[in-house]
Amino acid sequence: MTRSASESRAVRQDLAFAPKVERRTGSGFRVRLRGTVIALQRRSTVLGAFAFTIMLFVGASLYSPSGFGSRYNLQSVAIFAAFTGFAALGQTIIVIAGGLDLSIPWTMALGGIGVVLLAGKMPFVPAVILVLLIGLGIGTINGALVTVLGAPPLIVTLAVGAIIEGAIIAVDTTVEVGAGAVPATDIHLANATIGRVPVFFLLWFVVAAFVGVMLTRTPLGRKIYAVGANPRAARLAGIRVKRVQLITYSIGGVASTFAGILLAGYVQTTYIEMGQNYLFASVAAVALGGTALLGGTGSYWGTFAGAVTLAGLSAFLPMLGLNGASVDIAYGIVIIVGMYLSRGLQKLATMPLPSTDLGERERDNDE
Amino acid sequence: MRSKRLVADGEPGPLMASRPSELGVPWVQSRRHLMSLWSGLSTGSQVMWPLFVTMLVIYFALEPDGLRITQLSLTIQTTLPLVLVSVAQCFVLLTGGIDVSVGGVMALTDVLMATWLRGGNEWHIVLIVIIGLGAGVLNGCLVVVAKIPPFIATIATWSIYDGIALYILGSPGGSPPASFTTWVTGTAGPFPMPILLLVALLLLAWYSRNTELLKRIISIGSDKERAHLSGVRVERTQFAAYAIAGLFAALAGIYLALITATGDPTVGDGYVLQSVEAAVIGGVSLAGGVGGMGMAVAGSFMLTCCYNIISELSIPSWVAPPILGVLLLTVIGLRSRLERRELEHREIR
Repeated sequence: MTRSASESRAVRQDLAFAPKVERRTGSGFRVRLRGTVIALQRRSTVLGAFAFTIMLFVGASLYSPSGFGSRYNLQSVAIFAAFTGFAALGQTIIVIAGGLDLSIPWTMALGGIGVVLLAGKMPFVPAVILVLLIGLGIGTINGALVTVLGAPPLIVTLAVGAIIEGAIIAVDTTVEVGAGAVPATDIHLANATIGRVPVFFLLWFVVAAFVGVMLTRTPLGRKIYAVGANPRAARLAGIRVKRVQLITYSIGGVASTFAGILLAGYVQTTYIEMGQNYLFASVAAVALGGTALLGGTGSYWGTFAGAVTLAGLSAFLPMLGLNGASVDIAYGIVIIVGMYLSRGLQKLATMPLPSTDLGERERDNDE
Repeated sequence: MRSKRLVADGEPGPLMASRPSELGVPWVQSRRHLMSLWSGLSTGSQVMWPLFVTMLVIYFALEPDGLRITQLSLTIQTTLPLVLVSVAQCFVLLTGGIDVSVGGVMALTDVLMATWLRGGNEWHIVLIVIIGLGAGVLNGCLVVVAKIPPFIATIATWSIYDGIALYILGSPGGSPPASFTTWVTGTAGPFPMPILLLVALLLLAWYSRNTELLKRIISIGSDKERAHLSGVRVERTQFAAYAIAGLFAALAGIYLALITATGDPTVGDGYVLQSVEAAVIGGVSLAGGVGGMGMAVAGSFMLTCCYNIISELSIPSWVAPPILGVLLLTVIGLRSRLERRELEHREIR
């Protein structure tokens, strides 16, 4: 059995990603340079997303230094980015594991309204913990239904969202929904700043770092990628696929409940549709961050950049003198352009680089 | 031996054709034949039909007036926009994609109907249909040519179409020509127009089952690779599915403008998720490859039935979403169980 030339080339390309010992035929500098280039290349989707974000912010601040570049505007952009970011936290992990969560708006509403309802009966901290536990429960129910029914997550989570909506109104029938006062601690927490940076944004940054490490450096994170890339292969490799999927939905439930609690503090009111804007924004942030909606690839730092971009856009577009209609149109166009660029970068990230190894290159020429 | 095999497979063999029917139904020869007819249905239909019939029985038992022709035509009239938009959604779901932008197309065509058709410009309705088709073509371009995932591409175009609708008509208002609205809500001879439209749609659904295009769409939905290998032009077919979705969403918007006799730029928002829910309840698979126009029609009427039953029982309206959620989960759960059983059955064979 002899392999055809194209077949062996295909095998070689697969091996390009396997850890291999660099033969030190080139100079040390060249080898190190190649390592750096590969590292940058693999992260090109995330880097591209950040470049897109930075370009947007620099451009917008130059265009209107007193409007967009002002402290208050940047603070509110940071806070809204953090809301999208927390809603998209679970979404990122769930999407990487090959799922989707459309129950986010209702989980967020549950977070906000739950805290308002419970804060009248107990101190703030236990109320928050209890609400987060309820969020964990809902996430777990999502995950359990998706894994047990084996049904498309889109419709399962949508159904769960509808059930949550009914449950919130059922519990809260005594008053007009969400009419209670938001606890003062919550308002204070959502609006507090350290120096000039909102506490909530800093918290998001720290959480993003944790999630980044969790996804790339822990067994659970690697399992999440494996499950999303190929569930069958993951199962054969001994990963409990359903358990991993369940965990991702649980994390999503907690994260979006937390976003809801702080959103209630920031807007100082609660209502059943309070999370609706974050349904599609969370998916858009994930996609703009270079996470493929089919699962198996992506990163939370990409989503971080995506969330900041979306928040920056919704603050900047009205400053261009656009009315609501044009903002909608521009928002759509930016998402399309961003997705198109991110797709190009994904190609770049998976493209094998030419080798610095002279011997190998000669052998390439022989074929 | 051979004729026995044929009976087991449910096909009326040459020997059976002359045999008198056991069950009194002329086209069902035996109980076995009935069973095989049943198992010949897709799992989606097996779940959908009993549920649909039960819901209809409950509804008409609670509200016997609902059977009167005026009431019936009113119910159909209020459901038709959902029917049209879920038919639109169904075509894209069949390819394994999803079209979130149907809401945007509905809003756009709705406001165009309310603002464009004044003073001798009634023929512009043709342009509006073409614009809907064009919106679908743009979705197709983004998904097929630019290879953006359907979900995110149509979120973006939804925002764009909604924006254009808002640009044309800032707040609810305007009105389509009165001649159109009276035609659509009136009667043709003894028959109310909505019933005729529904019958026309059902005929189209029945006709479409055996068309080449629908078969191709279903084949790429069930397995792109195999469809490609058997000569289906995958990209072109996908493109067609999105274009048809745009067309039907436009029809939904046009019809909605005519029955409400006004335009509203936010009218599509409520229909986006409902169209998916209706199609799924009707038996269309979200993974693609299973379903048809008829299922989307049935699913929409199931949703309406569900809401009508709730309002008949005069229980508070907040019960509706969770009941709908439970209904969705039941349908999905039953279907995946049936599918699993069928799969096991096949493997044992």
